[in-house]
Amino acid sequence: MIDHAKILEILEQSGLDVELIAADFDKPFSDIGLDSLDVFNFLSEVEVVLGASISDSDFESINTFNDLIRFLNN
Amino acid sequence: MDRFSSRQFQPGDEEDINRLYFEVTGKRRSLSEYLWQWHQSPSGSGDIWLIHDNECDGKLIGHHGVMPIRFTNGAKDLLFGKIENTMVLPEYRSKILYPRYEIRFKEQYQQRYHAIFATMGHDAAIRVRKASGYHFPAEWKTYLLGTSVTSEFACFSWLIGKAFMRLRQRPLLPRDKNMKKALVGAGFLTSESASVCPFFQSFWDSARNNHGVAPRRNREDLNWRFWINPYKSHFTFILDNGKGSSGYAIVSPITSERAVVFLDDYAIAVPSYENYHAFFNALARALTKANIALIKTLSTDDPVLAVINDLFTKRQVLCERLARKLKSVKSKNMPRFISPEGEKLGLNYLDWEITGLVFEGRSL
Repeated sequence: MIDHAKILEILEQSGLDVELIAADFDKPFSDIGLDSLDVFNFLSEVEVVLGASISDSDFESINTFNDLIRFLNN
Repeated sequence: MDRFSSRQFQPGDEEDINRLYFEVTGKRRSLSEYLWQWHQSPSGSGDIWLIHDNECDGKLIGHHGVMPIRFTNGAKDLLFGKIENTMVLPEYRSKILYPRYEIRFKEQYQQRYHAIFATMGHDAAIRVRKASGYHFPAEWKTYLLGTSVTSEFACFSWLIGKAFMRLRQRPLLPRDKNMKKALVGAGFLTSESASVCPFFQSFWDSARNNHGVAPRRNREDLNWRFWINPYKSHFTFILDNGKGSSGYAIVSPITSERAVVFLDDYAIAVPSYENYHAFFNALARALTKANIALIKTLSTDDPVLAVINDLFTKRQVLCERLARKLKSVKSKNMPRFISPEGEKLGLNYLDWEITGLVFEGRSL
């Protein structure tokens, strides 16, 4: 099961500001200052680390980090 | 079927693309303008990738395009690609991961080109390019040059006129409608005349051997980019003296300004300080004859353009130099990518001879 701690670990690896994001797992990416490139870099890291595959269509339902955790655990 | 899909351009997409262009930029573009830009270049049709929303009747929501531009490096022929019209509808920017699409597209088209570049682009686009392997070795430099000793006064008048919009222009500065007549009267060629001028029959065939990496300037290249350009009129100056300073310059009136032209492109037979000095002196004299006091242009700080930048800096009007000192202008860099094919030929990221020729060709 993927949890917040695992996501924070991957976030750190992708170079994003972990402290900023840790408090806002339910806020949309754009609201916490992440643009499409930040999200792209992060999801690329997720795919590599977890061996997951996130298609372009899957991404449409992933607007927050909690959305991502729910997607990965399904 | 996935909600979003991407594919390459197909005939019949033109109107959709123009509709997207209008929604994203607010600018209207006719079918003929679109076709000129993307499908009528002597370098070939562009690589055009489209992104559609299949849950919205296949609505076109994104576009990524690369325009081919022929370059030369001495005797070698090269094909460069210029990224243009990167567009995603605002309401879809949080719905799709655009960087992923661009990186995927690039993996497919990069084999066609020796190098790919963009001119500028907003911050988000620059970040995507950085992530996909582009380098940023060269900075853009813009200039406002004087053509004669009266240029400082003309520049001052022009700035005052800009500051007080209702102030009537002095007779020294001709009105736009007379500028074209003045340029022709001073010996500049209209597009019609330039396109058949014998000077261009073999100019670049010979001059290219004295230049490094530079856009190709065969007659067909200049004809497409300037003389049949549907957006604006261009006027061509030729210095044909049988010497190394022989060459041409192409200028266009800046529609919003008076007595100011944009220097779109230039090339001389044998680049050297003395030859560029002689050439630009001749150009300045011709423009002065046409009552044109100021030239806007741009360059990059590639080492091969050091001579040009030095000459331009010396001609920069005082007002512009002071204005630059007073306000901090954030410099913009030119994203460049050398493909594996370009690497095999030993291309490097610096020493590209860039002029306004590589821009889109719309009015300023």
